Amino acid sequence: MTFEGSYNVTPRLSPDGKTLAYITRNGGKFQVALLDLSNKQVQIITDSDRDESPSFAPNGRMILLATVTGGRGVLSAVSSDGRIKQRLSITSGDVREPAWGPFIE
Amino acid sequence: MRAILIAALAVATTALFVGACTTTPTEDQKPADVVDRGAAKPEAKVEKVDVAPTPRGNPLKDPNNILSKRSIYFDFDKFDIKDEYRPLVEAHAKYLRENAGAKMLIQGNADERGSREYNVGLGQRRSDSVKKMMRLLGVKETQIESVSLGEEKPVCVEHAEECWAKNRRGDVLYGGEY
Repeated sequence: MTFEGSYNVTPRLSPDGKTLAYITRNGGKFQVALLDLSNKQVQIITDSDRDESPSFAPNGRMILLATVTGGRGVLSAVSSDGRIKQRLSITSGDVREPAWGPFIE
Repeated sequence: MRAILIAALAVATTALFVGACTTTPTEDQKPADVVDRGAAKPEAKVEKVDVAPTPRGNPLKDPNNILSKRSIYFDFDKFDIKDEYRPLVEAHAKYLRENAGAKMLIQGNADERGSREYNVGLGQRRSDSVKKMMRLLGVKETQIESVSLGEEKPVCVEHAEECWAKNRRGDVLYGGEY
């Protein structure tokens, strides 16, 4: 799929099948990258440094992920174009491997 | 006359018996030499036995034994075994070679930097490098298992290099310890 970077893990295909989200190592940071499968362009869409487990929303417009803040795993969401980022705070515990559930009609 | 014949016969029989008894014995018939053991003096030398205490305890638990040291530390984001830890790995490899029934679990660990997923991989590479060195030193594949704990088992939880250095390690455990 790509030869960019030395470390690319946990790929997730967007619902429309056009984009691949994955974690890439960018310098010393681990961030969410999007690979446009039509032109192979890669875009890093987060600015945190220890992201994990990206998960597309069923409509493909948001990506849920786990990241680390203050030594604790937290939940974060980012729009598929990288413009909107939202930290979803929790008061305790540790977030691991979040996954977006399906929309129920 | 009859009495004289009986007496002569008795003399002849006696002579024959005596003659038989005086026949030179064969080698097998010679009586065994008799040794008066009770009279023997106890002159045998008493070997001086070194009675200095020998380590009877488990060498794996003896703090003076290198085998009691169980951690191999790594540089940041590295998994090659540094020269200073080679004697330690060699000592454990020798122990495993000499104790074919012994089993070892190697746990690779990482500091908190890097993602947890990455650190699981890094920890595995660290435990694998220890295992690989032991295999090269002649330890059987069936005696060693390598796993990764990633960053999940820190021995130090401060967010500083001094602490991180303690967490970048491979721990060796023997059967019964895990």
